[in-house]
Amino acid sequence: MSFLNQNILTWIVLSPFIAALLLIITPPNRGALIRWIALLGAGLTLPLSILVAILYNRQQGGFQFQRDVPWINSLGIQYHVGVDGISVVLVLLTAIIITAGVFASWRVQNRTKEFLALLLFLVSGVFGVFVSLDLFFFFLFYEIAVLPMYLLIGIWGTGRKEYSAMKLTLYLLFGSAFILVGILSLYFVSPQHTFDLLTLQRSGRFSYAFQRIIFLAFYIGFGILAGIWPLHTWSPDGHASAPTAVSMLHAGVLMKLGAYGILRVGVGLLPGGAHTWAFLMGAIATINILYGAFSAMGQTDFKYVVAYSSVSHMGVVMLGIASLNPVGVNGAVMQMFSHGIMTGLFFAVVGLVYEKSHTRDILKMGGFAKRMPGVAVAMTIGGLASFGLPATSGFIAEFMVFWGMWHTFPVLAALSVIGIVLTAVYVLRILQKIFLGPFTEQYHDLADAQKTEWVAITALAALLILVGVMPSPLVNLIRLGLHGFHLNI
Amino acid sequence: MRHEWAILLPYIVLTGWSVIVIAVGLMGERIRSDQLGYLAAFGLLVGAATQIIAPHRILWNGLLLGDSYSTIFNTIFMIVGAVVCWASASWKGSAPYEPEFYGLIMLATVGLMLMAAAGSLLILFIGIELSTISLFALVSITKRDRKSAEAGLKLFVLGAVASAVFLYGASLIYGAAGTTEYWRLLLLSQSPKMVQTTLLFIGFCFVVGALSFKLAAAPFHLWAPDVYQGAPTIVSAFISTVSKAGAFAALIRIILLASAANWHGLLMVIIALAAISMVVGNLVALAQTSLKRLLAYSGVAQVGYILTAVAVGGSRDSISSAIVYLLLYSFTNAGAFLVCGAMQETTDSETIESLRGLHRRSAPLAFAMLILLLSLGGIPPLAGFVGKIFLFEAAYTGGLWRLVLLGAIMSVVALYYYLSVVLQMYIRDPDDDRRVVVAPSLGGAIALCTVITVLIGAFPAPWIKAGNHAASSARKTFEFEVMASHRIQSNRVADISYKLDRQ
Repeated sequence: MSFLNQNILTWIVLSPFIAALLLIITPPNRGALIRWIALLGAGLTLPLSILVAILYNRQQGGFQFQRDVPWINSLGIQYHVGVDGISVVLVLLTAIIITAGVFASWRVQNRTKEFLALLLFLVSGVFGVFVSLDLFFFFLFYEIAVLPMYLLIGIWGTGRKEYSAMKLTLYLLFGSAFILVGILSLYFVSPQHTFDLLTLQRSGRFSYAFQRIIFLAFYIGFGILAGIWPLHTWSPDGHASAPTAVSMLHAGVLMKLGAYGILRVGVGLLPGGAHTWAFLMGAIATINILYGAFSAMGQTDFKYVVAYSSVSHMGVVMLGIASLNPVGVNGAVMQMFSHGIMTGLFFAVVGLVYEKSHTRDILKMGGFAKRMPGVAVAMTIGGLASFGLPATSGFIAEFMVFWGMWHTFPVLAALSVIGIVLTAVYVLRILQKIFLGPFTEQYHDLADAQKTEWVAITALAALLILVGVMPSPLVNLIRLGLHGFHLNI
Repeated sequence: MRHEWAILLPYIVLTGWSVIVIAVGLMGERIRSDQLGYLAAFGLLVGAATQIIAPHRILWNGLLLGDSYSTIFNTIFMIVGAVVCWASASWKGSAPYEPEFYGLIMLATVGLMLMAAAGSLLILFIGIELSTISLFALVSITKRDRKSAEAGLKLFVLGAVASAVFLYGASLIYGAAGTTEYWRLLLLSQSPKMVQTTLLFIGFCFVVGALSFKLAAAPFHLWAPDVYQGAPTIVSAFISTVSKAGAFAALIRIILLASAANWHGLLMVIIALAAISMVVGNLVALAQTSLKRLLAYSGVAQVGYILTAVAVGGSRDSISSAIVYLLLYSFTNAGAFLVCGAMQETTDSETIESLRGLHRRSAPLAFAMLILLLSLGGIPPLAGFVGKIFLFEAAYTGGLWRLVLLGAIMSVVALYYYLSVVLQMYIRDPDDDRRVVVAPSLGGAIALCTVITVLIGAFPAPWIKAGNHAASSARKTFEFEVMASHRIQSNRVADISYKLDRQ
């Protein structure tokens, strides 16, 4: 049992990585074998992360399943992994999305092997970030998670793919330059010269002036990935150009890496800095919510609507973090989970609709619900969760975020709530234009989802409702993770 | 005195072996050119083996410093030299001068080794000249090719100027201090008798300038793109890696001296060189269409990253990180140039465009280039990532956080041009679908460089440990020399070397 306890996180990180290596040596013409290896590598993480969520000792709390192996002694770098309530939820989210993502890319024909290998490589970086307790490995995994995106969008994307891929990569790596300087500062200023997150958290009494500056570096660095305004412009382009599974993974999980970084490293290690900049974070998050929603209203490309809705919803996450109280932060993590599932569902639907109708132009579509009722139902559930209808996961998350924010900055909370109305407008607009109304005859051979295509959308839509009806397991788990942070009560 | 031979053994082996290679080459038809290449590579490996077992002593009253620091550098030079010889075994371009080609590579290596081990400006000058003069000939070895001849002439003219600058600086230093040996200079700097500090500073500025020429650090980099482009690609692989490493080995010794003697002005010069190199190298690289010129400018930028750590001065981590980075950079960059050479054999072009759709024309070659470029760009889990973090960590700890921030941001700029090569290889479709066929020895050398790049990235601890050891030894060498000379006040070498052995 202790063997399992110590290594289960490492296996979660390694399982997609090993599958990616296997894919590299698999001959390219064995299509079925390639898909099954990928599914196994990705799917194995799902039972493992459910196991982690079940075995996580709720009485004990704190970081569990820790493993600590020295790597470079002279620099104080160690491979140190462990999860608390927050990371458990995010690991679970990642496992769900990548498994759904492999199903969603079941029909990728062009260079399947490389596509799936890169996707798995990327996702093991994502898992790595969520479980790392050493800032060096945190940064290493972070970079691994960002770079494969360039090739994934550049090769398998659509539209202005080369432009979008380069823009996305440069934006995110520009952010990581700030993160690197921030991490080196922590290392240098800490008395033990260590990268270890727990040691830094326990003993790092950083001066107020230091916290103020370095928090800002982390906020910009991670914030770019979290899509904060005005540094979000890579995200609509990138998500719109990317192939389905990549958009699902990127909007669903990768943007959460940014928010997680701000929470874990920024708020966790530099609480003084976080309190100084809380209003700024809140204000920018409010702009994100409103600006993202307005932009989504103005789009005619289905995928751009969903991409801008991500910008808006990530604003809700950042708003929750900016509230700096337990309810708000809890809501932020809930929103990360909820939005991850929801946007995964959205992009899966966009992919299906595009694959069958060969268009993403909303104005040219209409009445699709007649030919693809299942897809329409899934989209409707996602849309309802998107503007936070009760009994969907979005309701719980947004309610907690706005409640938390109300106690810290009531004005910002009041402004952001307008975002819900705007969300309802654009969600209902696409539902109406695409799925309802008279059927456009030129799409006469349109068909509903088939076989493996069902897996992703059914599972994700069901989860949205399940979490909405029964949120307490997740909420309680997240609450256990909040003890390490210096939050307002 | 019996130790002298043991310490000099690697130098003697290489010099002798280069003569043997040339002599064997005279056998004409009976010896194939690829056999000559393997013979030379084997000789370099034998040299590396003797270097590793050679004792650590100071020779000739501090003229030649045989410590772990010079051991690790010399080993890098010889192993990369062997890789280059191996890669060029199948190369027909140097005919009919193959014997001279391999002989000159070995002699250039000897020169670089002297630079790493030099304890005096005089030996350093001999090292610089031996390596640079060999390189003049190597660059223009395909003399029928106008570009190659032109590159050789350029390197010759500019190299001669750099040598003159070096000698001028050395003469100023001699005029100010009456000696050119590092440890005596250090002693003098600590004594109240030393008055000519300005003259000394100017002299060292000239010396550092001349070394920057060999480093191709901006603004002394102007020769590099032209020469790398004109020279046979295999020679470019040699110049852009070990030749730089040799200049760094010498520069770090001088920086150690400067920081021990509290000449902070010299460190400011290095900081300026680092900043200019990172900015100029990365920005100019953006505009390149030739792969070799791109690699040349990226090399200028890489020198800037290494100088960032070197500018800290004498800290163990700064020297160690520079050594580790030079080690991985040598293999990675040599690999990238070799890929470029392999492409040139097939397409007869060295533009970035010529790599279009390489993944379809030769998947292994494209994959190797991908790994090498991403490592140069500092992407984990490859060697360049760990190396760069180590460099920046050392610089940050040394208080140069502004330089680190500049370097981190410039690394993002660098990714743009590395990725645009990746774009050509993986995203664009090829012009023609002919497969790219790579000769076995060249392919083997590329594979070796790629594997080493991955290995250093995955297991950096032993390399960093070796780097730390070498860095400490370079620092101790100075301390022991000075300590010993304080005590005995004489030129008896034996006592100093005895001390060094017991460290």
